[in-house]
Parts: sequence; C-alpha cells; structure tokens
Amino acid sequence: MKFYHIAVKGLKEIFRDKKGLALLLAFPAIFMLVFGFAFSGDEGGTNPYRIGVINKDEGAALSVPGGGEEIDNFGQKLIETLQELTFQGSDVPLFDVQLVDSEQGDKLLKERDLACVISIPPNFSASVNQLIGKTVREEITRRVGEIVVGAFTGDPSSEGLSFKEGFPPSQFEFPGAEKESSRPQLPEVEEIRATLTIKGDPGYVAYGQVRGILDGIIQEFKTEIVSRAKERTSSYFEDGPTLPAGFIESNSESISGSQSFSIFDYQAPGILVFALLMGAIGVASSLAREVEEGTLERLKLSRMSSFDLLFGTLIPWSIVAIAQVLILFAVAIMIGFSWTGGLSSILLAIVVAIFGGIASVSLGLLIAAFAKSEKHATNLGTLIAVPTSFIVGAFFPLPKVALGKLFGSTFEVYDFLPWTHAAEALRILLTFGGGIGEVAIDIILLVALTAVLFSLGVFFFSRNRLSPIG
Amino acid sequence: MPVPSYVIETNNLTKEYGDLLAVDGLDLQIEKGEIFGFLGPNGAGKTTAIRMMVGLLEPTSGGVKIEVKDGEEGESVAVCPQKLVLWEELTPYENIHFMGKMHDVPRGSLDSRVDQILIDLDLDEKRDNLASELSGGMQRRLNLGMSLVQDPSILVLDEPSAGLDPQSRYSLWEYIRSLKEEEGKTIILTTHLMEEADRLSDRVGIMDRGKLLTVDRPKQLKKSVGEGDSIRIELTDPGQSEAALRVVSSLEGVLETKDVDQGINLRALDAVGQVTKFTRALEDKGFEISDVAISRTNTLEDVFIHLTGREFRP
Repeated sequence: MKFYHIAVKGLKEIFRDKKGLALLLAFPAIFMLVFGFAFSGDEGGTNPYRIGVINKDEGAALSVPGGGEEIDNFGQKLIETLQELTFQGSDVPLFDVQLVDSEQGDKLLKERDLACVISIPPNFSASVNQLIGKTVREEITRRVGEIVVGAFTGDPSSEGLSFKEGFPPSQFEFPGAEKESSRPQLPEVEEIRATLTIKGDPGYVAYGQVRGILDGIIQEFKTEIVSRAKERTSSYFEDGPTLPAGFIESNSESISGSQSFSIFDYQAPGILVFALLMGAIGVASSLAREVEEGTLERLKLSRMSSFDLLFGTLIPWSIVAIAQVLILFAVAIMIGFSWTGGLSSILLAIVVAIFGGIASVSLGLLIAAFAKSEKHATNLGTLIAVPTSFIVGAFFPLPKVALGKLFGSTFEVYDFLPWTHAAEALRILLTFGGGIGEVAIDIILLVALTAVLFSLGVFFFSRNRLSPIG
Repeated sequence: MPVPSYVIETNNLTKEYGDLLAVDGLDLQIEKGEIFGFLGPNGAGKTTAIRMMVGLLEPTSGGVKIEVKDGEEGESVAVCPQKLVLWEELTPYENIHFMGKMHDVPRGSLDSRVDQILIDLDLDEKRDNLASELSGGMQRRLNLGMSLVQDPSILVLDEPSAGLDPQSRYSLWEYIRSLKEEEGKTIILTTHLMEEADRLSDRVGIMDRGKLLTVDRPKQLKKSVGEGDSIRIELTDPGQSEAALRVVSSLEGVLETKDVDQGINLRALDAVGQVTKFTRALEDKGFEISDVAISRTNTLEDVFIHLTGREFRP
C-alpha cells in the first residue's frame, strides 16, 4: 500500500503547484488550438478552394437549327461548370470562383488568397467550336461509312443502320457547316489551339492540389463537349448498334464516413496521440526531480519497492492524463472537430485516448530510469517522444515492415508501441465510424503493451535508481 | 569494565572513484548509544563513509555490519542528509507524516509521534504552512524531523547544523544530545565544525583525504597533542619559515615545533610569559614577524594540525 501514500503525495504536489498545473492543463488546449487552426485552413478537406479566373474569351458564333447563329461563350460555360462542382457525396462547392484581372490575380496569388488563377484565352470558344466541328465531321463520316460498308458486305452489325427521313438535312446544325449551299456540307475545321493557363505558387500546397483537380476537370469538360456533339450527330441516323464509347472509366469515392471532413478532422487522432506522448516528458522530469533533489534517497531507506514508487507516481499522472484527454477533446470539438459515429464513438475514443495517456505516463517512468537530472529527463523525453509520435504514424503512415500475422492482421514492427494501436483505434472510431468490435484488438494490445512498458519501467528504475549507487 | 556493544562495524571499507580514493580502508566500530563525530575538512570522505555505512552507496571493497534487533534492519537506521531534502509542496506535518507512512509507523502512534516531533523541533506553529514557505532554519529542523519519525535506533546526521545561526545551532545540539540521553539513540554525525564535534561527540574520528587518522574521546585527543600552550608565528616572508623554525627549535622552553602552512607552530609552557623571548630571538636573526597568536588550551584543530601538519580548512 505504499504506492497509495506516494500517489496521495504526488496528487498533493501536482495540485498545489498551481503554475505547473495550469501549464499541464493549458498545454493540451493550446496544442489542439494551434494544430486545429493550422489544419483547418482552406487548403484541403471539404472547404472550397478559392480560385481566380481571368475570362478573356471572346465567344464564337454557332449556327442554330432553322438558320441563323448565336454567339456562345464557352469560357463562361467553363466558369459555370467550376462553380457548380461539389465535393464527392457532399453539397459543399469544390471551388469558390472569383473573377479577377491579371494584376488582381497576381496580387491574390502572392498573398495566398487564391490557390490558382485560370486564364481563359480569347480564342477559347473558337477553339471549342473547332473541336465540335471536328467531332461532327468525324462522326458523320464514320456513320455514313458504316452504312455504305454494311450495304456492300452485308455486315450484320450494320443492320438497322439507316438515315432518318430527311437526311441529309439542308444544313447541318453545327458550326462551320456551309449554310448558304443547297447541298449539305460537312463542317470545315480549322486548327485553332487555345491554351488555358493555370497560374499559381508551386510552393503552396493548395496550388498542387487544385492543379491536379483542374487538369481532370478540363479533360472532363472537353470529353463532355465531344460527347454532346456526338449525341446531336446521332439524331440524323436511325438507331443502330452502339459502339462502345470507352473501355476504361475511373471514379473516385471517399471511404465511409469521411465525405465531409476537413484535414483537421483527419489529423485530429494523430494530434491527440502526439499531445499524449508529450506528457511523457513531464512525468520523466517529475521523477528525475526526486532523484536530483535527493527525496528519492530518503524514500530508498524505507522499505519501498520500485513498483510502489512507480505505481504511486503513475496514479496521479494518469489523472492528469485523463484531464488532458478531456481538454483535448473539448477543445477539438469547440473548434469544429467532426467525427463519425455519434456519442458512443467519441466516448470510446476518450477511453482509448486515456489508455494512450497512461502508456505515455509509463514511458515517462521508463525514461526517468535512465535520466540523471530533471534537465536530462526533459531532453531525453523530447528525444524519445517526438520521433515516437512519427514512428507510430500519428501524422502519416510509415513504410510497411511486417513481422508476421496476429489475430489475422499483419503485425508490423511499429505495432510493439502502444500508441500505434491508440492512433489506429482513434482513427477507426472517429474517422471511419467503427464500433468497439473493430477496435477491440487494438485496445487489448494497447493495454497489454502499456503494462509491458510499465513493467520495464519498474525493472529499470529498480536497477538504475533504487540499488545502492556503484 | 563492560565490553562495549557495537552497532556498526566497518571492515576495510573502501570507495574508489577512478583514481580518487574517497575512503581508504575504514575500520571503525560505533558503540551503542554513543554520539560519534566524523570530523574532517570538505572532501575528507566523511559523507562517502556514512553513505556506505547505511547502504546508499556500494563500497568498492570492504564491508559493513549493522547490529540491530530482529526485524529492524533498514528501519532502524535513519539518515538526515546534509542537503535539505523535503517535499516543498507539502506542509511540515505532511512531510513527516508521509515519511512515517513510508516507514510503516503504526497508524495508532503515528499522529502523536508527528505532533511530538513538530513540538520538539519548534515547528508546531508552522505545521500547516507549505515547506517552501519556511525559513532556512525551520527547513533544516524539518529535514531532521523527517528522519526521526520512524524512531530509529541509529541516527546518521550529515552536517546537521550547516547553515544555522549560532543560537539555532546550540538548540539543535541540545536536542541531539537529548535524543541520545532520553531515547538512547546511537548518533553518527559528520561535521567540519570543531566546536560541534568537540561539544557534542562522545568520540571523534578525524578524517582527512579518505583516511581515518584517529578515533578517541575529544578530551583524550586534545591531550594527545601534548602539554603547554600553542603559539603560532607568521613571517612577512613565508619562505623563511624553515630557517626560522631551526632558530626557534633551539630555544629553551620550546617543547615542540612544526612548520604549518608556511608559518611556525610551537608548543611551550607559559606561552604568554615566554612569547616575547621567542619573537625577539627571531627578530635578532633578521626575521620579520607579521603575526603572533597564542592558544591557551588545545583544540581539535590542534589535533588535526598535529596529525596532518596542515591547518584545518573546512
């Protein structure tokens, strides 16, 4: 029961040191606030990307059915398309489009108020017109060619292919078709090349993200124009067998529960683990102070075991860790942390985080076994806790180093660290909305590895600090 | 004459730190119920010796035997460290009470024991203040009180009056003496204060450079230095002390001479009556004297000088 007296003493010391306690409790709050704001900017997640557009497109004349022509502006259509796009499975717009001129655009890019500026050239519509004309020309000649070939060869695949009544029309309703002639004319196609410029700061993360998205969108815009031109051409022909339009298609889909997340929401479990690991430094320093100030020597003369001292130290610091976990969650939720799975998920996540905190306290005890002074403990603690947070994948996954299989899952080298399982369980619970069944193994491993860590602390502390000094 | 009963016995106790011999083959017996004073300058090896004796430090060689009642081992020896070792965020009551719990002092007697210690050490009024708020003297008394709560039969005090003003020091000596006389405790103390060792100790062991030079009762030690008074003569040119020593040694009435730290220490009967004769003899030979001091009674410092040929510099 000596651990009980040590725990009571520890609690009194922690709670009476008002400044120290304030720092201990302010740390997770400040930590979460800083990281929260850093990751909740508009550089990702489901916040619209702010982009600028310089539309210099002069438009192009399009022939219309029944004669006449109208001016169409495909630059404006591209802008409308960008404005209408939303994130996958969400009604949040993908872009916040701002019309700018060149000078404004440069200024806003430098200030990083815009992720990029798209410049639509004056001949954009003209170029699109030519693309439509080329498509029509190719499509009509292909169709006519197939009818002719089918008639000669009796190809069964061309059966049913025939012109609609009234073909050829007096004029094609497509740009570039000869309108005055009584004979149908195929659109004349000129080579007009328009280049869309996407300008941005290569050092700005948002630019890289938007660039990739825009490349896809522009390609899709082009495909859509071609596809519509083909559709309109097919109205001159009777239905026949449709040739496959494409062979490979791609579709991106968000994993369950993560559709409307910001980067902060994705990173929060890692931030939590990082903050908890930092707690190890405080514990190590506190115990090293007992060594440095000689109070441990006093205790050594009593019949105190290493277990008594370390378990007695673990209890008050675990209470501090619990308080820190609650503060971390409270602040995260306050600044807009979204999670999946409702109240049960967050409650279970708090339990997991508390175990993660206790693992960090155990790490602190182990560090104290090797620290010669408070300063040494702080340095050693930082040296161990910070890299550990990266090793356990708090922020990004590390290369796979599989050791074997455990409970049907691959056991990696990092899986020997309890925080790997804390981070994993937190992600499953908060990001993917998993239940207790999905995190049970992680929780079991987290608790077991924490017990191992604590036992190592007891062993090394007893050997290094409680034996007579050699 | 009864055979003394020893509570601690060391046998060739040695501690080396690399090339440094901190304690060199210490053979010592501490008698039950005595106050034993380890006297020596800083770095003499006193603290190292007692740390090995209580099991806080592993000796390089040699051994320690502690005679205690059955089941008392470990609990019967308490150490009051030289440095103030207390939990500053706890009150004096809590500090002493916590140490009592750690030493398994029975619950029934713990509270009254803590109360008594607080009263004896004049800390009762501040019992509920934080230790960090106490004066230096009070903290030192608390430091001692925390070692007493387990009611040890052997109490080791490492420089107990370091940093205390004379009045507090005398009160502390009185209290330490009462621990021996009223509670029958064996007390081992280390000190670099001659007066503390002299007035408090039943026996004194003088240590220097890791070696125990002598052990005896203070009175016997002083007597061993020799008869007469001690005169110290310092020359303006310390380099001439060896030549001056030869002059003084040949004078009538001089019992003993020593060149100590570039000055002359001589022993003579009736020093006050004879000092003029000695100084004049030196001046006649051309030596210029800068200072003369006479000590009418031998002190432990004289013993130290006698044993080491050096002045005692704490």
